Amino acid sequence: LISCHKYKILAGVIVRLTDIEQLILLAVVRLGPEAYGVGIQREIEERTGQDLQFGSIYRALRRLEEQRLVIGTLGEPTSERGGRRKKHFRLTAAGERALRRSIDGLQAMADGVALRGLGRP
Amino acid sequence: MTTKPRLPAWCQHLLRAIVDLQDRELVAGDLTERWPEVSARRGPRAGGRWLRREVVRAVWILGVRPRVGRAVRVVIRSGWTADARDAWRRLRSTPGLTAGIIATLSLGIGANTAVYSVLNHALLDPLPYRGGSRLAYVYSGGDSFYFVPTLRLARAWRGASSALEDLTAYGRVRAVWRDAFGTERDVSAARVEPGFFEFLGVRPDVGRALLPGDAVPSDATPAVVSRAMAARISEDPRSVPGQSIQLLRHAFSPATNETVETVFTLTVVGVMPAGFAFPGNNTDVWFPQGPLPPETIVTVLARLRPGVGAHTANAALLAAEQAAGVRPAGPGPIVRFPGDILGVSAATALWALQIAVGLVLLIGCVNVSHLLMARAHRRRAEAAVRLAIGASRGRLLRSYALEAVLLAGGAAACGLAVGAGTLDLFRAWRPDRFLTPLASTHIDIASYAAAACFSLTAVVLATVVPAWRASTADPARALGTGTRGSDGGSRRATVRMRALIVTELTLTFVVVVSAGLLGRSFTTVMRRDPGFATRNVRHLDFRFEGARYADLAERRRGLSEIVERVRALPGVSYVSFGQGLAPEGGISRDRLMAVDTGATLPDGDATLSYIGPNYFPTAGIQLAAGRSFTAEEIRDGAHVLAINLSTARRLFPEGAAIGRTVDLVTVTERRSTWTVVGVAEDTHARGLTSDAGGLQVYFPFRFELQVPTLTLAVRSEESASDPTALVSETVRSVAGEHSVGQVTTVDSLIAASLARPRFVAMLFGSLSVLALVLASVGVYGIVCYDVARRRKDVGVRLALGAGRARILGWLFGAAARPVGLGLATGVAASLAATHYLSPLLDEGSPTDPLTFALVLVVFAIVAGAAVALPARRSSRLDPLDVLRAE
Repeated sequence: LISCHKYKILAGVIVRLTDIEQLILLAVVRLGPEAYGVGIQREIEERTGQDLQFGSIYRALRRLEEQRLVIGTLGEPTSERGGRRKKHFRLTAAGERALRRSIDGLQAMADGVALRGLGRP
Repeated sequence: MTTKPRLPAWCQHLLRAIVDLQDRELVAGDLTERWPEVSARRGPRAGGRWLRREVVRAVWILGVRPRVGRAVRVVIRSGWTADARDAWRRLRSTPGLTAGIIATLSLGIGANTAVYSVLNHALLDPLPYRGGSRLAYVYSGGDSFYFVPTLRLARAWRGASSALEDLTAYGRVRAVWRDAFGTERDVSAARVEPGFFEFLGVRPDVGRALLPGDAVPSDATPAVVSRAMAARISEDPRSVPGQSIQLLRHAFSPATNETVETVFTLTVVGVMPAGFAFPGNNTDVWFPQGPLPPETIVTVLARLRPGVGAHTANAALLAAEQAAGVRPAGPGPIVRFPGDILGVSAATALWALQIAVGLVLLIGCVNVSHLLMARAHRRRAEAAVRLAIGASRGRLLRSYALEAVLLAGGAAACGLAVGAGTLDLFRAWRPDRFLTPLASTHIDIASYAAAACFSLTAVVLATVVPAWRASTADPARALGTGTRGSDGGSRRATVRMRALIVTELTLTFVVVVSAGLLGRSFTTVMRRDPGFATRNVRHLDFRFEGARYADLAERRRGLSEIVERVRALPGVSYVSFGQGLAPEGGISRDRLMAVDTGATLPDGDATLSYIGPNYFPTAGIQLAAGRSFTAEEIRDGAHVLAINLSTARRLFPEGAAIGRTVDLVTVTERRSTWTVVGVAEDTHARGLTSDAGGLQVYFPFRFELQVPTLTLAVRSEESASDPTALVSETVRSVAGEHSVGQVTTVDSLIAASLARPRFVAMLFGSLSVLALVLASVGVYGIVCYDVARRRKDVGVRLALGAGRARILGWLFGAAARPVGLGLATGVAASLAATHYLSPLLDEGSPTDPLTFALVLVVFAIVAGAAVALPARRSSRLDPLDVLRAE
């Protein structure tokens, strides 16, 4: 079964990112080669204070992978993980485009909006 | 040296629920790596909480949710949907049969739902207030009559605290509200105790309820108003508290026997929520009753203690009366739950309807079962083929069961629509005096569900049981006999056919005979001679407006002016006035006794009318002896009265009532002496369903007794045009612009008094037509099937030279025997059942032979046709065709 997301990609439909997807993609970009489950969770927690669980993170990553926005590669087993492997993620060109569009949209909406604390240097 | 990090065992165990192996490895690895870090930073307890939350969330998102999705896909792929589609196709391939079954069942379900809803609402529904099922009215009285008690009794009943949790007394007051612009409007008000709202467990939306201190009389008595009234006072209900309103009340004071108009100034302190209008359904103003004479008539509502029944409560109330030393004459206090107030015949009507409608559903189910069983028989070959090519028995049964569920589901959906429609019809037919709460009746979900489940069970059983039997039978045999062959248990099929016919006819007969008896009773009542003229007599209710009519002499003058001017109108032959005029006679609460013979009329039994001069010729009531009241007698308030023939016979059995004297004893034990001046013929003074031989007393109209409205009776000439407009105009010009209320013809009053029996007769009539149609279609279907089963026999007999008449006789005889048996059992069952209808029959006996005979004839014709048509068709077959088809 080809999932609905793949149809959308094939048909060139613009992918809209959810909040979590946006956060995860940004974390992947920030972390570079260190972008795997724990790194992503830690990065998001440290920067936004949001406590995302691994279940949510992996479900979102699975979706992003299906949409070809990220690519994951399995690494070697490490002892600190109890002999289990890591999966490193990186953005694809489509992923970068989707993230760019998403952030541009958010910024365009935020432009000129006077909120307490927003636009503070 | 660091130890190898490990997750706790429970954690690893739970993580196994994650479906995807790679996900499982990644999550476990991440947790192993992150957990020590989180524990070190937040402390071991918080770390444990973090781990638990992470694991639960991961298992839910990556373990449970994908599994549920997969299960749904499995169900879809496993063939349930395919079976449902298959069942749907089969239903569509026989649209007539499907539509017939759905129509039959939905009529049954719909009729049941509607009648049960009415029943539940009108008979079983308690008042929707605190301790609703324990709320009951308390009356003072006996078995056949009960009266609203006086305040004195209500106070005494408070002593019955062993049986009553609480008690409240209130009175309803019709008043006129004069708004800020001076416009006067009728409002319903209630005189309540300050604890009234607390008793009911309701509180105002805006402002406060009445407080105990409010009962003290003051210039501005506090009052609570309804939401509707608040909207009339001001656009914003929140601004209403604090405003004052003026009510004009015509209060009858039993102490002085006079009516006084009083102006009340009330200060609104609260607004009740929308929809609250108790007592009744249109009360607008509640005010504290203040100090009242103990003879004031009140309604008493009590909340019984949990577990206390009506009998216990009656005894406790009687004891309290005796303890307080206020025990009046009569059988004692009586507790009635709101549902009982309908009275015997309304309750009987509803129960009878419920049974009749239940029978209709049963007849429908019998029909449908037969149709389904016949179809299952025809499908034996199909079932055998499906089994032979490898379908499992479970799959086969599932497919048939789905079909039954689809059928019953369709019937249930249509039944809901039919039920809602029927309920609307009930509301449209509703005679006001029958069941006021009917207006707010809604579909009773429980009874709907019960009827739908009953139908579902019947349909599923009638589909699945034959399918099960077919699936266990020898497929070769099922295929060999084809669709037309006589089935294996031919004898059993014959017995089944007969049983179905007998059951169906018996049930239907009972329903139709009941309808016939009610219809006959109703038409007889309708043809009764009321004893007074109904055509060209009009009643106009009006009241005197304005301050100047507060004066008695002024009212008297106004009334005689109205009478003179109306009599002068073209086409008017007689004019009179009064109160409690036939067919709306009042009920006397006073006791009447003959002075010399000592004979007494039972109190509460006589019909009471206050009449003006010329009333008898205006109403068309014949005088048997004596005369009408003269204008002088009425003006002077002379102690003269007229009675009807039955009353004269009761009071003066030895004859000659004219000139004799009677004593009148009021409820307050005031005694006065009156002379009989006229004896009128008996009339149905309280409507055609009332007893013509009832006791009737006519008093001269007394201005002192004037209650808010009085009735002007106008009789016009046969050929004259309707004088209503002219008469109303005349009354308005004298009594005031808004003085005229309702204008009715006596004909329409008679029709209103017949509304209840008409409602019941119409309902029964339509139910019986429904039952008769269902039963005749059912019998026709059964006989058709039976005849079709015998086609081969018919063909063989014809081929061997049997005559057509003989074949016809043979087929007809086979079906006519169960029909005859069904009719016989129907007559027997009806004789046993109709006895319960007697409270509803105003006229005629519950075993009226003419009705039974007529219904028998109708049944003989209908059932004869249902049997003869298929038999005749079958006897005309070409034997070659039949045998070739085999």
